[in-house]
Amino acid sequence: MTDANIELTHDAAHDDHGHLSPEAALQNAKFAMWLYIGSEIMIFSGMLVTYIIFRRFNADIVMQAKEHLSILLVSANTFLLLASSWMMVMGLREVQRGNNRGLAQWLTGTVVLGAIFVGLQVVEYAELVHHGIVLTGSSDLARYGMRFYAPTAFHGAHVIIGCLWGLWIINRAVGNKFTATRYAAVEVFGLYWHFVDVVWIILFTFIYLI
Amino acid sequence: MSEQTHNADPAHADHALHNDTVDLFGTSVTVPGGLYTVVFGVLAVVTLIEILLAESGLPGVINYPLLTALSIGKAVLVVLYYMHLRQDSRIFAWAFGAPLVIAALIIGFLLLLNPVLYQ
Repeated sequence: MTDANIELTHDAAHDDHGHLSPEAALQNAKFAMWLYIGSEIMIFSGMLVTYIIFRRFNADIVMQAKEHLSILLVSANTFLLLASSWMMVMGLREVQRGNNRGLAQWLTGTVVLGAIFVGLQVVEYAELVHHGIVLTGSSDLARYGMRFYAPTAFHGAHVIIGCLWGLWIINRAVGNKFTATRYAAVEVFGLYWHFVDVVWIILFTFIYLI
Repeated sequence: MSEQTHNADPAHADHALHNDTVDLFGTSVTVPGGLYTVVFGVLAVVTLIEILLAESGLPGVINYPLLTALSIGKAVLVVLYYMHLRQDSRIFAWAFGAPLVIAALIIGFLLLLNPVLYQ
């Protein structure tokens, strides 16, 4: 789409009853989601820079804590989230072709992988707590825990919200609520889900790999 | 959302399901399933390379910039192809890019501050 799409004239953006046309509604909804994503960037950046600065001045503590991080488990989780993003965009492709059933099938995959991601994150947290990486306290590992759990758990909360949102979209798709010209809810959910994926790509590198 | 189903003509609907080009708001748009799958493959392979690099034991001065670059590259791929910023309105790109630039400036500023201030 081009800039012209978002700069619809009043006549083109409204139908005979003064309601927004599907195209204008889609562009408005997408713009709103991009603005929301912009605000989320600021929040996640604050958490990430807090972690990076802590790491810069407490390398020994971070190295000690990292001995307990399971790269294998988190790597598996990363592949799951990447695959869920792919399924999301394939689902969007189906609804753009007028196929509600295809959308529901792909999105079911997205939600299932998202749920497994959260489940594995809970397993990871249980293991870390067992090793003393907790959220409160004055020990070195607790100081690390605060910086570690804030971004990763906040991201996990986004995945949980995404799964619930995805279930709602699936429910509507099963009821044939979307058409090839009325699918703004799917596109907006897709932007959210892919952003959650992008955040994890960054967190995975800076918290687990570096 | 409307409850009416799209493409009442079954032949048209069947054609749409087997075609990568669809008609969106009067414009012919490609929804490339193959490309989406290739992007996923690239993301998976780059992730594997990242993990191998991280476990390789290379010095941080080599590893960190490499891992950062690969990570940013993956994020860019998702934003351009899965979030469609490559073909969408530039206004969306501004809504996404402006906070990113501000965040990068703040992070850069905080990292350049005198370490004594953090003690």
